[in-house]
Amino acid sequence: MIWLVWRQHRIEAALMAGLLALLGACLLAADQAIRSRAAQFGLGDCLAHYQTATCGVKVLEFNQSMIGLTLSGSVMGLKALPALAGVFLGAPLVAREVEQGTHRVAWTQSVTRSRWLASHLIAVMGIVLVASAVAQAAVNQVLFPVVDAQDLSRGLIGRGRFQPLMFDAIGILPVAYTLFAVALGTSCGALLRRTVGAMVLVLVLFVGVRVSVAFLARPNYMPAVTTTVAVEMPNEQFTGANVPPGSWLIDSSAAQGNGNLGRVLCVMSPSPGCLDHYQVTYQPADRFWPFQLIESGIFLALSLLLLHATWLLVRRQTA
Amino acid sequence: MTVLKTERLGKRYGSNWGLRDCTFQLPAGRVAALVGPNGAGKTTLLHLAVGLLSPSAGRIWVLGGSPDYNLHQILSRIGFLAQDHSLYRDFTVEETLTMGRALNPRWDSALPLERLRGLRIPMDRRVGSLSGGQRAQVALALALGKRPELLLLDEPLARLDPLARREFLGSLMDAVSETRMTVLLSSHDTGGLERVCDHLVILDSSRVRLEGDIGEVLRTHRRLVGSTRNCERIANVQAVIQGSYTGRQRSLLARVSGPIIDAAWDVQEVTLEDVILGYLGSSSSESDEPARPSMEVAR
Repeated sequence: MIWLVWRQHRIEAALMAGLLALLGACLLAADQAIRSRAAQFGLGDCLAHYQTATCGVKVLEFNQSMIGLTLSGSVMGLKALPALAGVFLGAPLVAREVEQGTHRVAWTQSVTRSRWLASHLIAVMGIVLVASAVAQAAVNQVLFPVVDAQDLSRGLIGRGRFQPLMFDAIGILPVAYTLFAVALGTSCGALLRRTVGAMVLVLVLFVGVRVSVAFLARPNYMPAVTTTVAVEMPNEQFTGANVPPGSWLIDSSAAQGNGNLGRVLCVMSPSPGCLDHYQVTYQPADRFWPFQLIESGIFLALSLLLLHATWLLVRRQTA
Repeated sequence: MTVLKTERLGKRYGSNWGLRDCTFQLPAGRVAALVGPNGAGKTTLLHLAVGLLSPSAGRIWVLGGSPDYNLHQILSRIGFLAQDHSLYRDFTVEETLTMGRALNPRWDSALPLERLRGLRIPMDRRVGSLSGGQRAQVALALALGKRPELLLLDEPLARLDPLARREFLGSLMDAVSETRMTVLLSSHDTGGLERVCDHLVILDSSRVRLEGDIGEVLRTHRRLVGSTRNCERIANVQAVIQGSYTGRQRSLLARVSGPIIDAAWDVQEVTLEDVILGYLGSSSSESDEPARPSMEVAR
């Protein structure tokens, strides 16, 4: 069985190694660029012994230059990798066999269908796990210093590790997404028995699940912290002061019964006690890892469900 | 000993029955032809036997076990040649045999290798680049390497030219004489089967029409040719399978229980092809059912 699995997936393994090498080269280049820019703004010293007054400005400048840079584009590119694994490794796993009729050979030898499926899944998931873990370790090496710097700039609350663009590109989440994508692809392939159809379906479902989890579930993994920030000037904007750096700002509204409308009225005609505080809801920065673990857990649990469904489908798969 | 046995076996695809009320037995050591037109249910029956399908009705036993419960044990003892000789087209011939060894504990390495060498099939060529006849031989070698007790072949002769067909049947006969395995091979045409088969199962419109030893079948069927005026019962004729008229001549295919001594009828021996065509022709003319959609064409 091992021989067959290796024979059928050696091209994928080689491509994966190539992709890893390419990614490594890109990351090395990005790391160099980020480091030279950080040095240019003198961030190293500043971050070593952090002082708000001088450091904040430097971090702000650094951040602005980073955001303008290709960083966000590259991060978006990284996010496409799990979907690619689902489309090109997951979807064809069962579908291509059925489509080409080779399942009639593979499933009529002396190996049970369950073992056939398990061997293929272990091989593909194993390759994917190792590759994505290695890649992600490298990505984290490059991106964590950037989010650390971003988190330190209080003026840019919500721009750091918790911002939606960044949160699911760093830490352990991308590995969980990749395993999920492969499991999803395999089950779509077993369901549709058509490679191209399964590829399209896995892409649609993957994006759908990712977006829904990120926007609907993620803010609620733990009850958000609510605090009030006093307003001193009548038309003061909320800046994020009084909230720990790196926190995820979920909502800030002027609190005075009528919310934003009340705030506008107060700005137009200031009167005593009119607008006196902001109601701020946020997820504190130190919840980054718990949130990563919770979301990874969700995707790994979904993967297990999908693998079980795949097993049922393959067992019942008819000629 | 019965190697393959079905009892009112049925398989439904949606609202259509691909196979229905199929009851027959295949004794050990036989080389049986499973004959019927496209869509008769031959592939369905074979797929039920190897567990690629599970029955909607009735039961099936293969080598004493049920594919639903001990498929694993059964599969290690049977060889299966799927339609179109499904193989991994990007594997070389050698890799195909390596796969056989990797997936079968009872694998006999020497047998398929010798067989393919004898046929001068290049071991380093990709399966996809072989001719249809060569690919069929590779598929057969892969199935024989398992040293099966029962070999099931789904339309192995379709798409082979006459020469490749003859070579394939030759290889099959060699293997049968060496191993004494039981063979069930399906075919939608009748040519050349007499040379290799000694047992016949005629399947039509998803039902078994006739089943038995070919010698016995040939002994008990006769063609009677006579004048159209003779309509009375003929002694020793059990059933008229099919009748046709040409001018004033009447030609009947009949199942008989003994010699027919009737001056009004000219009695002729029949060939296997006569019997098969007679049974298949009679069902389509008598059947009220509309023509069945051909599953094999749809695939």
